[in-house]
Amino acid sequence: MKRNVAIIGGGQTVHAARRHDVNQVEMVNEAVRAALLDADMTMDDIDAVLVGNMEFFEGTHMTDGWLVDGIGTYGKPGLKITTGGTVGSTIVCAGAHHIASGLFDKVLCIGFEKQEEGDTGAILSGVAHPLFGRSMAGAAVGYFAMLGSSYMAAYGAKEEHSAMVAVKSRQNARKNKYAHLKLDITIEDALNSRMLAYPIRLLDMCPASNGATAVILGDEKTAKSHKNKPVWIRAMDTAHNEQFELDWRDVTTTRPIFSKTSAARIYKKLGVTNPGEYFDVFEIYEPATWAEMLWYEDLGICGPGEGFKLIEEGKTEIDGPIPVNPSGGVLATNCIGASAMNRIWEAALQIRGDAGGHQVPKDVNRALTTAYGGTNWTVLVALSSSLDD
Amino acid sequence: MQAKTIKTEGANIPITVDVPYRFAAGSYLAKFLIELRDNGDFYGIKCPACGRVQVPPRVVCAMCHVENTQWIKLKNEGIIKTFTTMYMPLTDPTTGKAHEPPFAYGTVKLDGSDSGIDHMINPGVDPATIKVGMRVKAVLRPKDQRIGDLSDILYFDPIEGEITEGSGNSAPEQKDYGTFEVDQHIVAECRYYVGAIATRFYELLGSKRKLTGVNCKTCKKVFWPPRATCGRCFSALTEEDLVEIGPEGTLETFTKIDYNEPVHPKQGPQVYGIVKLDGADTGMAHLIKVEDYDTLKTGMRMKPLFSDSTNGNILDIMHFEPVAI
Repeated sequence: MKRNVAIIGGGQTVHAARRHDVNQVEMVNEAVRAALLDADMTMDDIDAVLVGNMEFFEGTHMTDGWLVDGIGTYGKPGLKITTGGTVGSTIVCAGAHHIASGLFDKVLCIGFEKQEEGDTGAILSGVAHPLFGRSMAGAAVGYFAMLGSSYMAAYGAKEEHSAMVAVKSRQNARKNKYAHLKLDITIEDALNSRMLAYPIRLLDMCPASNGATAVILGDEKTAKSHKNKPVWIRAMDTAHNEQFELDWRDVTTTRPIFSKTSAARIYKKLGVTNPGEYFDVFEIYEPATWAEMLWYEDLGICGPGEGFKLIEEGKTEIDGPIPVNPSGGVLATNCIGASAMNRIWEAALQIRGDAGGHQVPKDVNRALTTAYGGTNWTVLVALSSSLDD
Repeated sequence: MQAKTIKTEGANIPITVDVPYRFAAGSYLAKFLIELRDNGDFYGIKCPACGRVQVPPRVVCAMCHVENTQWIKLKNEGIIKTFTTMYMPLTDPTTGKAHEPPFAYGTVKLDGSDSGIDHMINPGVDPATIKVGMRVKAVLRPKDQRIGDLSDILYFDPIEGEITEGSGNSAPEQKDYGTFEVDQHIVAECRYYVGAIATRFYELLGSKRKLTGVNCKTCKKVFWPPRATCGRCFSALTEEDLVEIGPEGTLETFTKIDYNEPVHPKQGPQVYGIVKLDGADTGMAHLIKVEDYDTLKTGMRMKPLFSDSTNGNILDIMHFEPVAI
């Protein structure tokens, strides 16, 4: 990178099933004020603002135009980004690009979703190709159900493995003040929850949450003189998938799909040979339990077909050797426009030692975050406490 | 439109967004859909570089970045690559009707193709018997019911048999399929929560016919509509900062709309403009009623006409009209 970039502050709302007490701009403003407070900055200190959500999920277009008052963009440079479920992460990368380029020093990045306001099913159907597949309208649940179906057929994993991921996520969420689904559930609860689309049960799937997250990025000079411990963005990568292809729905595919392509490139940039050892914590984007097992494999934390064994052995628990999603992940909180940013902000909190109840009980210096969107691509971001790695 | 004003909840406004679309298939997809409709045949297209047979047919191979040129006629049977049984009723957005659960659907790779097609599996088959790798055959609607859409396939039905090659068609197709366009709607039922300050604005408008703006003490400006943050100085604003404005004001600008859109509050030519209510520093856009349009002038004094009943939205003001001199 031309110039180094750090996360110097951030904040989020307490993500919830309902936020009838606020409109969109008021909800987003909560996260913005929390971030400015955390960074001990005012809006006048910010050079540019990047904001994003899932396009039209609230039934309102041009959200950047409607949020001006609450996000401080009056008279200020900035732009709106919308890239599906990856948007929270794309915004942070774009913010990093703004600073790395040398054109800006302090950038505010905001992701949000007030999902209760829109008609998710109808709008999500607009993601499908109008003439080739829209009528099927399987939505996210159908997609991940087929992933699970393929995974079980290929590797002999059982529904119990899905339940293990569901339990880990919600029990971690109970330690996270900001998480939506803080559920004290057992394996049995998960296995008994209502079947949505085989093999996905209610507790195997992410919620629809209302919430916002904001992260402030600074250039090296600002970061090094700042009161907060800087969390350096060391590498970023993005890879798209080809439309219409099976990809994650056929776990035996040998095609160079988005997750594997992006992981290989970012590991090459950083010189990583053993990701499970290199990174102290992972925050991955898992809309469903089966996706988490696939992420373990595609990130190379374990070999192909071994993801379900990793969760069975407890290796990815909050106090395990390879903690994955100590925050509770997307399975516990999914305000889609913020979800990918939550991965980055939660990983930053771990590196800062500020995660509170869900802080992993070991030294955290390096973290890897992933994002996923129905646009069928990923964004990987590697964070570190040091500029040396 | 009805608004609920529940003190703990805050007012909200339901909004139905109904957007019509017309999609063009393009020549590659047009051929696929027309061959399906007219002959019950499935076509894929092969990349000259990597040899992948792609469905739906598309102009460029994404992996090789070269133009796809060789059309391949596929068999109408293949294997299930993955599937699920859906227990939730999901609305087909193209028809507005729900597929009734439980129904099994999956991705079928037709013999000769490298890509899959998502579709229903015979609803008469016990979902517990469906397996990844199972062979299935396409069952189509009768020809007179096919329209050139994937719904021309009723479902895929399990059968016995081995995988075979596609029956290749090496001569490039020269037939002109013409344009193929489809009209669709997306209908989204949304609900906008207005927040605390706006709730108070609507309460005062609805119950007392009082108009309010919000005062930023730092900027010494009164904004309409009321908002929770001052966009200029970023101060937090609350219900305590609401101040009465109007009811009369000054006409800042106006125009007459001579065309109709479904979203307009009423059809037919209508006049609307921006009125800066007395005491406010920003204006309110609203409908204007005037006997003779040519008599309207900027700077004119305007007054609101309130509706007889409460709508719970800005149409509690029906329109503004000139103050009689």
